[in-house]
Amino acid sequence: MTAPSACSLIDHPVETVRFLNEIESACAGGSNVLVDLGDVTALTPEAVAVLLSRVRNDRFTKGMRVSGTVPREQTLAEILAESGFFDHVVVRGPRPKTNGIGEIRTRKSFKVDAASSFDLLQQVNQFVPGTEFAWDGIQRVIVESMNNTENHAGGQKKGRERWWLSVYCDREAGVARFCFFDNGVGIFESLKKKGLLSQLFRALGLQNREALLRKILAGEVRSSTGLGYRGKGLPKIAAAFKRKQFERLVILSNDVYANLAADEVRTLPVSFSGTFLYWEHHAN
Amino acid sequence: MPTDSNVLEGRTVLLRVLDFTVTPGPRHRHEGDFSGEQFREEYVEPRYNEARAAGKRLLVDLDGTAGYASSFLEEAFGGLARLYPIDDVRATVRVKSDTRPWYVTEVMDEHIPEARD
Repeated sequence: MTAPSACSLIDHPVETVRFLNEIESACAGGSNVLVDLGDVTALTPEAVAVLLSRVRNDRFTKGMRVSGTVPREQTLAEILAESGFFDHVVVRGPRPKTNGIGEIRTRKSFKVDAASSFDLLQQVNQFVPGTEFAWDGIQRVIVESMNNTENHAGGQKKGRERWWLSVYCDREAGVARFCFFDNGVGIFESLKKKGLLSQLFRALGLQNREALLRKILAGEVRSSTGLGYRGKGLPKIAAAFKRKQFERLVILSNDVYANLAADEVRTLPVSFSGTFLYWEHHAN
Repeated sequence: MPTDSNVLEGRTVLLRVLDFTVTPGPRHRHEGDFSGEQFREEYVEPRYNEARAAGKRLLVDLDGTAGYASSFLEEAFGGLARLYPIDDVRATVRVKSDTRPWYVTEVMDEHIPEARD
């Protein structure tokens, strides 16, 4: 299975989500999968993190074997090696080594674990320094997202879905690239399962999911719990971005993609199973 | 000299979140460590009752922690306003943050007033 030449959830979400879904479909069909990354010309750390989470998850692989080839582009091969990808995927050909230009740190859990997040941020601070203002905003994104995974990602069942937090520290560029995601039902499918999606469309006079995400981010939609005082996580994340506590916020859930820096929200022709957030911390 | 959270200072009972944890967590205890529910039950409610009984205000200092999820703050302060008369809570509770003023706005203008929505 050949990866798209630009494998990036943030920059090329359609091709990348389609690729992830194709791997899942092949495994579901009972085939072992060879992930051919040889010709990729762009491979961003958040795409690697999601790919890694899926090849390690029996729900996606159905017990089938996933092997891979190494990108010919050396820096991309090193990103993949740094991520630990080859600890979980059988590689065809020589296994690349890391060169130490970037650091990848990953956490995963089923629980809301603010201490683990704080510990990670303290490590990141050693590679890409930041201020209390920046770390406060990023801690908020992470813990709000952990709460959302705990409460919503498993559909009607709470605490059943694992979250993943990964950060790639590019010391040369002075940028820490964070992603947080779960492989659960996603925002819109969660609302649909609870019978709330069509109700919200009617009540708010909305035509599509893009408009609904805009309303959610603006804090104009009550929580799917039915309690008005809940459901403030995503609006607070958007508010922290507006305060410039971090850079470049991207949200992907089901078939809706939002790039808040560009004020862009659009529907994709493919659907990501889960909810994914990406943001950056820039030193200085 | 640092002020102990339990010391009554004039007309105010002071409580620092930092005395509870550096890393405030989720809303409920079962969701993870250092929840808003635990903070409310073990720290806020006793100090709130102490302040009310003495005719004083409760001042909660939010500074020094890693950061807050909205659900922690909502459960700590909105939760208090679901247990006690909301007007009493509004009259008694104040929060402060010298470094992150948006948390003060959030608690005083959203979480407490909207606690029963």
